[in-house]
Amino acid sequence: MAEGPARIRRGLRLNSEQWWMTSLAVLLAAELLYFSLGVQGFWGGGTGMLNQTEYFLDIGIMAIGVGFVIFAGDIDLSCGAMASFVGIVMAELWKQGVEIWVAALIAVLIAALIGLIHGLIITLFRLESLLVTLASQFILGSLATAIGGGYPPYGFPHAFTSIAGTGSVGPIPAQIIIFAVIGWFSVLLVHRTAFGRSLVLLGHNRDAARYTGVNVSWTRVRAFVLSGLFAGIAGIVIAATYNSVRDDLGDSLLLPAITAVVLGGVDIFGGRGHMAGVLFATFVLGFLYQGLLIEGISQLTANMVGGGVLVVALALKIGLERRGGGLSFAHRLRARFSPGGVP
Amino acid sequence: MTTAPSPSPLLSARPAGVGQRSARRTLSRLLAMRELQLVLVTVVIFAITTAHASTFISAGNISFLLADAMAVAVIAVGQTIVVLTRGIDLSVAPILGTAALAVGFLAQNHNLTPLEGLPLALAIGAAMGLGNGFMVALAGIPPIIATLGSLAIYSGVQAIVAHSQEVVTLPPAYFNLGNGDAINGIPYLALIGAGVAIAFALILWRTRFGRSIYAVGNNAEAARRAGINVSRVTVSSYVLCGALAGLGGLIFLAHVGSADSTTGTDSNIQLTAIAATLIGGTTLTGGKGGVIGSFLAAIFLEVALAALVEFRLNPIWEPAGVGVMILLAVLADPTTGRPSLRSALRMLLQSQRART
Amino acid sequence: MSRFTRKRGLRARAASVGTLAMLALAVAAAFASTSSAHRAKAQGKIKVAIVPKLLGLPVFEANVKGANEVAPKLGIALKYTAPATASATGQVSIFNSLIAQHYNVITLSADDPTVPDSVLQKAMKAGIKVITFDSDVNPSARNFFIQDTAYNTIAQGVIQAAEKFTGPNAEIAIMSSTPDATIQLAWIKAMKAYIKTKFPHLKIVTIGYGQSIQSTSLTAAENIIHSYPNVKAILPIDGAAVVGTAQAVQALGDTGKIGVFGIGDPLPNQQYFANGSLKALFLWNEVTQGKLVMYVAKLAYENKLKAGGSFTTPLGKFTVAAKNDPVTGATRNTIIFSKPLEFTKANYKKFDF
Repeated sequence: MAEGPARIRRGLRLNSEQWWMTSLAVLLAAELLYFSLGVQGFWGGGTGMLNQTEYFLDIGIMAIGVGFVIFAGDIDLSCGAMASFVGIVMAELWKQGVEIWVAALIAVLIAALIGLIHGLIITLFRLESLLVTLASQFILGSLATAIGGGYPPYGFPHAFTSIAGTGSVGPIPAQIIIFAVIGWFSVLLVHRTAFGRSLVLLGHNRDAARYTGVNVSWTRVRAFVLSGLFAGIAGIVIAATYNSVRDDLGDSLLLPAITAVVLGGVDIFGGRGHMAGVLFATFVLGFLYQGLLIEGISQLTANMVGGGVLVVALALKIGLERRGGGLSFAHRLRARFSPGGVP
Repeated sequence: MTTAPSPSPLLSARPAGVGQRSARRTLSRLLAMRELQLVLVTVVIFAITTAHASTFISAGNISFLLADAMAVAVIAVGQTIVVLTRGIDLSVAPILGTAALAVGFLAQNHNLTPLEGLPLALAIGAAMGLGNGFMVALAGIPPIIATLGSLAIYSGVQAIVAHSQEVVTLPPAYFNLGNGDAINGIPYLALIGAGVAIAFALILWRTRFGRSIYAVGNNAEAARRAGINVSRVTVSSYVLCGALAGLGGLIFLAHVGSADSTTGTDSNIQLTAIAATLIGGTTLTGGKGGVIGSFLAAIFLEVALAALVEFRLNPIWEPAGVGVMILLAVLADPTTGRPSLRSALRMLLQSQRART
Repeated sequence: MSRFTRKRGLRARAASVGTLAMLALAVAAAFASTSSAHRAKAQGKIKVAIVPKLLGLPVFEANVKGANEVAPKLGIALKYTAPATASATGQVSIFNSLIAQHYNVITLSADDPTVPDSVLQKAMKAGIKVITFDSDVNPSARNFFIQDTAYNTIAQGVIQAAEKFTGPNAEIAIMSSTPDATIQLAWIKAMKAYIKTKFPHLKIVTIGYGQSIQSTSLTAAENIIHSYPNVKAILPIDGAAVVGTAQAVQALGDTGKIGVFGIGDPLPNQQYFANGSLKALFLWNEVTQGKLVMYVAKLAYENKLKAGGSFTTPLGKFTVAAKNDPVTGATRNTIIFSKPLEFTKANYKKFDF
């Protein structure tokens, strides 16, 4: 593949991923400034604003999980149903007398196990990840309804709902701390470890990864385990935040989570992007949505704005990359169309 | 990137061709055809269920099941065209809903006949599909993202069209269309659905446009070099998918008899249509499969789920049934060269050994 | 792979300009729609929000219509907002935004009985009165609940009407929304209790679930008719289930053979009353209920309501329950709105909800 045309560089030397993240950070800052100054009730002395994160950080946790899978060039459509399922399993175990934290741990481990099963089915039978996780989404939905029954348990111990849900340390909501730890861990995992390098490399080019000695199947399986694990954690956080569970409580998080991953600059075909972008995008989308609601705008309009932002951002990104020439996204798209692209 | 020559899409799509060496081989090839598999399985389910409950095979039930499956079937045909180009359309639900509402309101307030509603439903669907096509083909946004965005936007459009009103009273012509029988046991809707499926099957197999759909899905770069206007083919596939979703909206309206701001998006109709596409033998990697399989798979899903009810299975397991059927359908596809369960297990054991 | 290291300053800088353009888009959208709540505050009115389960459902539109009729007279600045789909978490986001906007009273019909509890408790802590109607939350998460009607009364109404059609020895089926829908579960319980004492030979053979979706209800009802050929009456107890069941009975040509008696609003079902596939529906007057919600909102805001007390409005006299009543279903601080109305072929045209 030919090198891109030589270019004049001025100012900061950042790569495109860093530029995208800088743009997101600027956007976030501008958004917060606008809502704080222009919308009554948004700022709330800072604490009010921080508390709004409780209503979207669960999406961020799920987005990180899906992010691992998307980095590897796969997709996981089961995350939403997984989060609902995990909440129900935890609640039912708790109702049977299991200590809540133990119940949460067991439920999250079950999610990771299901993720492992997804990964094994997908790699061993060489099935499309979209297909397998779509099927799994249906199955998990039925399981959650069956286990939850007519009256799913609610009213968890205060310590649990406080630490994993709505509590705070000083002015900082507990969820932000959880999200920061998870986010930091995931950024390190993708960009500072051998596993992360394999993950990005195989998403970038599976054959090349294989030639350089990466165990492609096992790396993909691990990505699915992480996706299941994080969807499970998201399920626990949702259960703690709302102090109840429901067989469809996590379902509506899936599409916003994928939106956050893509807006965060991760290539939907894998192999490119930065996990930190996903963290930024979570806040950009979350505050945009909450801010619009507090401004008194209907949820319907807010959803439309969210969809518009996604499409416009991607069109701009792709358009600019295309104009830049060289190994553009469009080129990758074309390359992706060739038979060798997807094993 | 590799540009390996790919087999003709026509041959790969229709494994049972001419030149068979032995009858046995022909038989095994025929059995490998997804369309035939679906027909056989559906018939077997019908036989077993009828043995359990004789009313299952009544003309009334057959007629209802066929009519009930047609909205999904028609959407699945459209979805198949997009998937054949290696795309996907996640926005068909609000397209269906918007078309159903627009036609429904005009029928309710201005006595629009179904025949007059048809071009309107198709036009609304095609226009929305055109938006998707532009985003995918011209802006270069990956299909799953582009249609995820348009899902949010079109859902808003549907709510605006609904304007907090509901379609509640339709002229009798709609009920006759949606639930009436042409012949005993064969509803009008089934004729429409079958007509659509056959027409698109012929278009895909017999026309230059149809072949270019397979070509784009198999290898867009090769198709481009062969002189196919890939952008135009891609846009057309989304327009057709949208138009068929619009037709699905009209069918839905006639069959269910009402529509509101969440029609389509509130149910699993979109995912069920994707499931029907996959069960019908069309692969997400594009270029392989066909609309007849998707059409038959929609009927198969309907019959299978009705049979579950007949066997007194709790309806909460219906989604799981769909999920299991998707997995079984792809695992039972012998034409893909996918490893068998045994060889997969062997691979697993070997990889474990390699790790230790 | 050179791609990882290549610098793309110019292009990416342009991308940042692009994201700013996105911001502009979002801001423009935000400015485009007006925010009535802001303006209301300055005028010293009571800021009340009405949050039904979702936007665009005719029964809730009827509630809002009634509420809008009386709100100006009561000095209430009313805001109508709801999730686009019947999403419990979507509703929570809305409550959160209403707290931030310092509303005085939040009235709602809950998508889930437990999910919104913590945010509603937060609202009450912030001095906001919380009033539920139609679908309740836990009593600890609201000040007052306006119950549509007593559970035993509406259950008796439906069963009596159905029994008149089927006779005392018959198989009947119920079409509900989801297995965990609170009100539907309460109604089913009340129906079963009533059957047990009054009509022990009526047999509920199955309960179908239509997920509150018309097409799903239609399929489920059709499957019931085929699987249980002896069923003489189907009782759909959810709005979408009524439409689906009546349509299924009509489509299968069973009008007259199978009676449909349900709980729902007459307007979406006019065609089924007209052609006879739907025999009777029971519901309360949704428009009047919307009015009562506003009266209660004002009285609650002025701290004039207490458990065990009563109050008079132009709609009549109402009592506030002091303790749980297992027969009517009332819990503490519940106001039972009315006796159910019966809609039949004779009177359905008189109602516009």
